[in-house]
Amino acid sequence: MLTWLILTPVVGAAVVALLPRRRPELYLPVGVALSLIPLALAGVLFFEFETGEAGFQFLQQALWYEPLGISYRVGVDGISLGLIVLTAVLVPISLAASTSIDRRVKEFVVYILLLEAGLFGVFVALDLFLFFVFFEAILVPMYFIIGIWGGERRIYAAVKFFLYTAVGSALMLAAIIALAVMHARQTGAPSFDFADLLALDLSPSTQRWLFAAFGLAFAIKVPIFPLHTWLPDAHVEAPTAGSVLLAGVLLKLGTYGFLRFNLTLFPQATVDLVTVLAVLAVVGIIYGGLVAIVQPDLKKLVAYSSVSHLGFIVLGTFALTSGGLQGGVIQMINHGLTTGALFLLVGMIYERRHTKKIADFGGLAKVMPVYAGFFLFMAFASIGLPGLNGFIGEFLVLVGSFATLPVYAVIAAFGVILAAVYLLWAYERVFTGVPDKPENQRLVDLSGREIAILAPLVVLVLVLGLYPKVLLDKVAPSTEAILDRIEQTTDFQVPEPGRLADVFVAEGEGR
Amino acid sequence: MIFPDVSWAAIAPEIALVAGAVAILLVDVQWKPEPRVLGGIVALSVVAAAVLSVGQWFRLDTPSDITIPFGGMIAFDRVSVLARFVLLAVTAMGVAGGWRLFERLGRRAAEALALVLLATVGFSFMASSIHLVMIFLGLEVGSISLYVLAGITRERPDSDEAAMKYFLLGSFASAVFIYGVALLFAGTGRLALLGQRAFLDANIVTRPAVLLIGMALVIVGLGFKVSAAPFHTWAPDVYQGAPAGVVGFMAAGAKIGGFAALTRILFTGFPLMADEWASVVAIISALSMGIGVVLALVQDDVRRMLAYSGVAHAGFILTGVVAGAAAEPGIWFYLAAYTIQLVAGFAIVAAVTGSAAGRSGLDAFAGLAVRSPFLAAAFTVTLLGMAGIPLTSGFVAKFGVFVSAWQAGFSWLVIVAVLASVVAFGVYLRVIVVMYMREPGEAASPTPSTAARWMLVAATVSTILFGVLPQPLLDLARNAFSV
Amino acid sequence: MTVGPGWYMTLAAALFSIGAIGMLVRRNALVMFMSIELMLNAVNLTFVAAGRALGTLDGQVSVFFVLVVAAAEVVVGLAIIVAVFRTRATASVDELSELKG
Repeated sequence: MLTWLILTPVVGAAVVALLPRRRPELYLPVGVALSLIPLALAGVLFFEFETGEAGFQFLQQALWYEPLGISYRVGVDGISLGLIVLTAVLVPISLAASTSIDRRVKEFVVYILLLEAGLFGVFVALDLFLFFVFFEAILVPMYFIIGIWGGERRIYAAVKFFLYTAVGSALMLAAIIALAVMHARQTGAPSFDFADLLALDLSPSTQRWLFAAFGLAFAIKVPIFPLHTWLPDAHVEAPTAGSVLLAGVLLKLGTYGFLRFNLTLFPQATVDLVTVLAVLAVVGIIYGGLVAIVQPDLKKLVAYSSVSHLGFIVLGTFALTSGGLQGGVIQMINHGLTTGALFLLVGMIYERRHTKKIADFGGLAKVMPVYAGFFLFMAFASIGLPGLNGFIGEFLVLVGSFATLPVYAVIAAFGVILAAVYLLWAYERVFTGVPDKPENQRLVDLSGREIAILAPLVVLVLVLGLYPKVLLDKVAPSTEAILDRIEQTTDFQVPEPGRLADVFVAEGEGR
Repeated sequence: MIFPDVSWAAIAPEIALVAGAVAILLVDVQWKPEPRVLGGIVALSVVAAAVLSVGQWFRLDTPSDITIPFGGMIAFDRVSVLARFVLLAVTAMGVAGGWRLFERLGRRAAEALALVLLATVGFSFMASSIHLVMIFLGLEVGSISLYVLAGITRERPDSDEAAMKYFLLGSFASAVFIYGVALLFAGTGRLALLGQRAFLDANIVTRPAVLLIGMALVIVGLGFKVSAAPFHTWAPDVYQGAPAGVVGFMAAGAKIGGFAALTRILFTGFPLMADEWASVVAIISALSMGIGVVLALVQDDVRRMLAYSGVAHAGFILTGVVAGAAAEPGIWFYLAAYTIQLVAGFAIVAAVTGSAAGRSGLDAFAGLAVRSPFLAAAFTVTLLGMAGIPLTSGFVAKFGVFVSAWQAGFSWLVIVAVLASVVAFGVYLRVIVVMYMREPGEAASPTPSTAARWMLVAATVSTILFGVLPQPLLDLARNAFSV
Repeated sequence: MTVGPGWYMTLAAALFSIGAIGMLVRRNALVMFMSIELMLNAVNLTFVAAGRALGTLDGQVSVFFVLVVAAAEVVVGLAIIVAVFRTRATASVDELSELKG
């Protein structure tokens, strides 16, 4: 099942690559159609998933290279499930939104599909070697997507993106090797199996080194302040589909990695280093928000808002409470949906006006009411208006972190206000008033295709906003298991209110 | 009078290669055929050698099955067979990839092809000999052939300049190597590696100075051949000046031979002095990786870039060498993966900038993705393989040697190595950027020869295949060693 | 005082060093080549001296191999140097500066 999930996009990419060169108009539709297959698989996965189970499901295993203890081992738990579905949803959408790609369309579709395969691989990998393989491999298609179809400074952005992330993962590779060698020392045979490595007995100082090596890789991916500088460049230059997948899914690799590996493999180091991460997360929240306010460029604004939002996820993760962890996971999905949608919207206006400067717009609500409606809706979702998805995630994170990191939670709450400031102010400048510029007066509103692209995201935003239980019930057992593990292996105890997540969920729904 | 024990089976593949070289020269004198015919003879003798090697492989039952015929000069074991497989693959691919060059050479093609075969014989003997003087002979047979090959397009000034630099520094390295051998002989009284090991086993060396200097000189001499820093200075000039069609074979062959000899000497002859040589090799390794990637980053000529990246790769392979005999399967996997990529890379360089030409500026690759999607794709896979991106054989290779080095306690070296590989990404990305993201200029679309095309398909497929499914090749490598 | 093998070894080491230094500091290709020959002969001396001191023939036999190899190197090396000399009428390596980067 999971293997099929990884293989179908690869096969799809091969099919697209073999399409006849005379029929370039086929590439995108075929690509979209093919990317619906993994979406269907992900849907099946979601509904077949046994709610209430903490462990990994749909396990598959095959020996890959035995003497080094490398195996092909995949599985899904509540944390990765949502991200897989998110990936499967965003890929067809971003492909369908890429009609403005006018050169080398075939390659573009191929790279997007390969990227999808890599992303699935990262989320299902349960062998650290396999994880690293996919983690690195997705850099290549993304690099080409930014570098070939990006904006003016695309090469600079692509290389910066690649090297930044490669530095982080290189040290992670060293740490993975170290883990396997330690496994060999302790049990006699090296192993890269996640479950085997969990059983390792690591001294606190070793844990801290390895935590740092893994953490650097993930922190760059997230990105955590001050390692975020690649992100605005990459986002601004990337084509719309690239931005959507970058913000929607790629950034989540970092937070997913923290949650999946750092917290479980190095619990003692996690507990020791909570403050460091919390400080960085909060700085990121506030810094991202402030910088976003002053951005003259819509796409950059959304990019910096990601820095701020991802800060929430990191804060929630290192709050080490039920609310924080669940909120973090939920927020990963939410951010993928809303920011993805915002990037799509920016891309749509860019196709019409060939500018992303806020100052070039004004009064668009009169000319493009439907567009303005979608934008406002997504802005509200991103701000965290109750009833929409962002609210649940941020609320859980804040309540969760209040139990263990009260000061940080309070400061982070200002981030929510900042989000309202930058998004609504941007909305005001772009959409309200009279359309005084002649170019703006002739803009056409969204076409049926564009509405169809945005509609699924709107539906998901509403579903998660009104009935988050559908996802939370699947997430909760897995995050609880992580907390159990931390409590068992360290002397850290989650404070009493921190483990009462369901109460907060109920409250959240009530408002 | 005692005659040494002759075992034709042990050297049958080499005999096939020599026969091929002689046949080429004789046929050429008598009939003056097309280069195509001579290419057929090369193919025939390489295939014959490969078949004979397969036969040897099955004749040897187990990894530890070793006989040493010819008075203890040749080792008939799976290690040498494995090395020969890699070498023959590189030879075949090198000739195929540079086929345009041999066609252009016209009457001199016979000479060049015979030299390619003889160089292969030399490096093959380097891998299969277990006696220091025999290793030296193999080294020289291979090296002297390469000196001539570097200058085979002698009408071009940069070609014979490359030949001369290669010759002077190469023979200097050989002299250093053989002086090291002489000192090792003076220290142990043996020239056969097993004898030296037995001597060190049985005796406590009270004054190891001569031995240590000898070993250092041997390492330095072979370091030159595999272009490890700080003995790499010849490599960029030679790679740049020599005709593109043979550079791939030259570079790959020398690396295989050099590492075969180095591992044989260190692991078979002097495992007991591992403490002494491991730290020296580790320093050379770190220097090679650092200097290699940093200097590769600033090159504007693809061949110089590949040369410096070759220095870095020598460093990466040496991280396996420091780990000792346990790393040998990993070292050979690395050598196989890398040398195939190296030959493929130079075949592409030859196709793009002319197989007989010297120098290959980065500009010549601008917009290659549009001008020749096939070459650009093949080069991309090759470069990603060299960079060690997962799902290519380069990644598995790097991973293998790094794990060994870490297990041997050289964790600092592994950290240097992973950082160097990140910088190396930048090196290869630069070329990919130029190919995919710059507009093509006026330049025409390069068309590789049919042979080169097939060879590139094979190289690309193997790079990806061994990246996704490394097990068969790794098992093969492991089956050659008794670890 | 007898002249033991140690002296020969020392002499060989000195010759080898002179050769190596000559190789590194001289800029005429022919002189560099002669330096290499000097180094190889130092090797021969070491082999002979060590072989004699250790009472084994291996040392002397090795000398033959080294001599043969040196002869082969001379043939190829001189040919290359002559080829270079023909195209540029100089044998100084400093003037060989087509290749750098």
